[in-house]
Amino acid sequence: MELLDGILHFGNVLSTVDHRRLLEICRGIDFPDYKAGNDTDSMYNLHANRGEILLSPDDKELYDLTHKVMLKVMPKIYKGYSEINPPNPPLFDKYSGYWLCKYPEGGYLSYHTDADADAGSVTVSYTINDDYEGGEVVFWKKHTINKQANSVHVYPSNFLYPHEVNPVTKGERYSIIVWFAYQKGEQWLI
Amino acid sequence: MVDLDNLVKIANSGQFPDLMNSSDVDNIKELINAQSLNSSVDLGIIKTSPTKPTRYGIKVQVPTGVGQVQLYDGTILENKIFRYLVDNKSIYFEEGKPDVPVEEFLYFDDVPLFAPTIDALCELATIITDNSDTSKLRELLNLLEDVVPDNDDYALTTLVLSKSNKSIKLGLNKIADQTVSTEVFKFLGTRSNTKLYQSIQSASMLTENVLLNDSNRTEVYLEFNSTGLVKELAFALYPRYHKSVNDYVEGEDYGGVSKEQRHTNTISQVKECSWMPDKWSAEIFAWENHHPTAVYAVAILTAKLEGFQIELEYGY
Repeated sequence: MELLDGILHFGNVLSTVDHRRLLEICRGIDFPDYKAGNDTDSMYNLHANRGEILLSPDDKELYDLTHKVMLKVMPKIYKGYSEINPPNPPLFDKYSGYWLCKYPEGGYLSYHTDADADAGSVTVSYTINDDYEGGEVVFWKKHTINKQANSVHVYPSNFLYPHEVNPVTKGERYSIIVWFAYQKGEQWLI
Repeated sequence: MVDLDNLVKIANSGQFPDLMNSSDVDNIKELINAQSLNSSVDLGIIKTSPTKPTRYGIKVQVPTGVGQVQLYDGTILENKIFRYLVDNKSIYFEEGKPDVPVEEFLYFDDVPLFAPTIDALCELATIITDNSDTSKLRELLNLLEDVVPDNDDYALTTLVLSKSNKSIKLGLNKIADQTVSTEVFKFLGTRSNTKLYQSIQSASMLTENVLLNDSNRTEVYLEFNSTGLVKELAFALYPRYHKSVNDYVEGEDYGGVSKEQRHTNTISQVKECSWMPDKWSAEIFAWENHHPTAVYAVAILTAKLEGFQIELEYGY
């Protein structure tokens, strides 16, 4: 198996109506102030310029739409990794919470891995919109993944999958990130 | 919406001797009185061939996202699957029995089948049927879940609960663009040369054109009751698009085919199916045209050991 095979992509996740509504809600949110380098992690030398919000179940409509995304892709994640997982893998029943991210013009995320999430976990990245320029997600400094609205990319959250988000040069990029794991994190319920 | 005066006129006109006759009007009046309904209620009607008692249904609102649902008799059912209910359900009553419902139809927003949702469905099946041995149901759901590797094959969209019959029916939206696997026929029919296998295979072949047409939405229905998994399989044929939606399908409007036209195409296709009783084929198109809110809802072909059963659901 090539490393690239570990990156899964699923399109058209939500219905058109749900997707439009989710994007509308995101565009109406006031994100916390952000500036270059505000999101840093010295261990991973991570720096970023983006706004992020941990969604609460109290953000009912937005949380429920996000949950719907994850519910719809979870069976595909299991099937996607079925060749390398045991026949009946335990469920990813822990999660990091749903993080809504907004990259403004100039927004970026430096080269890093998600290895601190959990050794046994996967990262799920839901691309909400694609009407912006720049902002590509690039793995290994050479592989740019498909920038398609209403689609999901999944990849192992380990040191083999370093990636970055290029600076957004025009418009705003919205995405939702979550790590699923077996042991570490909050309880994730279907 | 129920317009009783109009229903009487329609019944008297003789235009719909099978879909809306004077008995239907009497039964609907009886239901409206028994349930103290007003004219704003949405009405569904289910006819069955070979003939069984007609069922009349009303649509009511339900809360969403709460992991529970309240049945007509006040029972509150809790289950993870109810988090994904859409905001309405239909309660159906048999003709002559307008006080106690025979079935409640719950609708879902495409819940994918995988281990935790299958667990939740089996738990619910036990609660409704008092039958704790759901092993065959689980086996069949696992089989359906894994028909096409790396793909979503089926997703839960409908549950039909009957407390009086201790029965639960699962309506699974067929997502994969393929006919139902013969592995499923074998599972239900025990092996490939049984009468039931052949009945299910015939139903699959007869619905194949409808199953594979993008204008249509197809579901398979399974039933589990107090005696176990019912040895039959049903194919439900819905229009994918609503009537009176005159916009175009995104990215697919090259042929200038509106959603309403696609809706009509589905009915044309179902009407032409050889298994559709002639009496319904003759009336269903006119039904849609006689009133702005009159709709065809679904035709369900059930393959049983003893042959086919056809149900037609329509209403206002």
